[in-house]
Amino acid sequence: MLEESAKIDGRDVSREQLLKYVEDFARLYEIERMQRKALEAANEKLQQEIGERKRLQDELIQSEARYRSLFEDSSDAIYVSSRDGILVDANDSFLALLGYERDEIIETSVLKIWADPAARSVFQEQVEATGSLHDFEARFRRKDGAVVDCIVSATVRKGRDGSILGYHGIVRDVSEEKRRREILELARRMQALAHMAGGIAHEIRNPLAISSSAAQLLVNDNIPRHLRKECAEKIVTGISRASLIIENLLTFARPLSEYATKEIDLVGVISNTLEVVTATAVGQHIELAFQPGLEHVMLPANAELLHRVFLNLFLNAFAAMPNGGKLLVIVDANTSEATVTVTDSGHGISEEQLSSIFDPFFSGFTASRGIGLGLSVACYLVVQHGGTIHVDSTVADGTTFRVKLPLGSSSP
Amino acid sequence: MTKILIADDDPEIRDLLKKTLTRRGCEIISAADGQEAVAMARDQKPELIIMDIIMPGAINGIEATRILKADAQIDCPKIMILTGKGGAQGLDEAASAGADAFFSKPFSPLELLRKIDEILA
Repeated sequence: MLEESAKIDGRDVSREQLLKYVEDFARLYEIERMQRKALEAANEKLQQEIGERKRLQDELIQSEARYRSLFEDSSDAIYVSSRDGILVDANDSFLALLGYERDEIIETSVLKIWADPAARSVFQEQVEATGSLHDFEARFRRKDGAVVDCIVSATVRKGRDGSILGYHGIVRDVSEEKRRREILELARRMQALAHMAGGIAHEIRNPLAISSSAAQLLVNDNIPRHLRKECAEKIVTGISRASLIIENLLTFARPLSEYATKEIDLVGVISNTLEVVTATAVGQHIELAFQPGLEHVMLPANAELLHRVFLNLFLNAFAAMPNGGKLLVIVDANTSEATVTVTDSGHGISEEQLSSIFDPFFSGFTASRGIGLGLSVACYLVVQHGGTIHVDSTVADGTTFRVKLPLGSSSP
Repeated sequence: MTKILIADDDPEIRDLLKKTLTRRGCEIISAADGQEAVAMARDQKPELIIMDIIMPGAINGIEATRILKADAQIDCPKIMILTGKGGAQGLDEAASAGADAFFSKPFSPLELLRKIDEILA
C-alpha cells in the first residue's frame, strides 16, 4: 500500500505526486531504452559499413598490387608520360630497353629518348585523334646512343573533366625482327639479281652464239660464197641483237628526268608506231585496226620513249599471233588521263604467267624475242611517265594491254 | 644419215646449227618449244636432240628431257643440252634430268661437232 504522503529529497510529496514521478520515470526509462536500442542498431550498421569499407580497401590494395606487379614484372616495356613530355613512370623492362637507371630518366623529358623528337608530335597527333594507337613505329635512343626500332601501342590518359593528362603505353623492341626482315629482303634482292644476271647471260649468249658460230664458220675457207655472205649477215644480226638488249637494259638505268619531255600528241605517236610495224603485220597476215577516239590527245611525255612502249606492245602482240590475227588499238581520254587499249587475237597468256610477264627476262615468255625485255621496258617507261599498265588475257582468246597515262595540265 | 632434232626457240640458232650440221651430212629436224620437241622425238625418232633449256610454252628443255628419258615406249635418243643458261645450275639441272651432255652458248661449231661425234660414238 502506498502511503498518503512521503518525503523525497527532504520534501513532502503527496501520493498523487509520487504516482506522477513513478509514471514519468517509467516513460523516461522507456524513451531511454528505445534510444539505446536505436543507437545499438546504428552502431551495428556502422560496424558493418566499416567492415565493408575495409574489405573494399583491402581489395583495392590487392588490385593495385596486382596491377603494380603486372606493370613492374611485365617483360614488355610500359611507361606513363604527361602530355607535356615528362616521363611520369616506367617499368624495369622500359628502363632495361633504354639502358637507364630509374632516377636518370623518371621525371625527365621523354624527348631525349626519341631518336627523332619530331616523331613524338606525330605520335601525339595520332594517339589524341582516336584515343588510342596501335603499333606506331618509333625509333628510340638508348642511353649509350644506340637507336632501337620499336613499336608503341598507347592510350590517352584523361582527367575527370575530360582533359588529356598524358599517355600510357607499351613499347616493344622490334630491332631483331626488323633485322631479320632486312636480311630476308636482301636475300630476295640477291635472288632477283641472280635471276636477272642469269637472264642477261642467257639473252646475250644467244646473239653471241650466233655471231661467234657464224664467224667460226667463216674462218673455214671451203664454205661456198652464198654461205659466207649469210654468215657475215648473221654476225651483224647477232651483234645488233646484243646491242639492243644492252640498250634496253640501259633504259632501266636512265630515269625519265634525263630525257626531254614536252607536250606531245599521243595519237600521233601511236599512228607513227603503227606505220613502222605495218610491213611486219602484212608479212604475218595480221590486220591492224586503229580507233583514235579523239583527233589529238596532248600530254607531257618523251615521244621517243612512248614510241618504244607501243612498239614493244605491238611486237609482243605480233609474236602471240604467229599464224595471223587482228591487232586493235583504241585511244581514249577523259579530263585527267589517256587510255590506250592494245588487243590482240593471239594465243593468250596463262593465268600463272600473267603475274610475271613484266618481270625482266621472264623465262616462260619469249614473245619479246628480238626486242629483248620488251614488256618490262614498256612497263618501266609507262611507270616513269606516271602511268599504269594492266593486262587481261584469256588463253586461246587473246590479250589486252591497257596503258593509262596522265594528261598533266593539258586537256584532251 | 644421222638424224638430229634441234629444239631451240631462237630461229637464228636453229638456222646456224642446221647449216653447221647439214654440212656434216646430218639430217636436221627442228622444234621451237619443249612440247613440240617431245612430240617430234616420239614421232620421228632422231638419234640426237640438241635441246635449249629456256623455251616458251608449258615445258622447257629440262622438262622435255626428263619426259623423254622417262618414256619407256621409246628408245630415248641422246640428248645434249645447249644453253645460254650457263654455270653450275644449268649443268646440275641437265644432269638431274638425265641429259647425256651439256654445252654452253656461245659455242664453237668445231667443238660442237667433236662433242656430237663423242656422244654418238
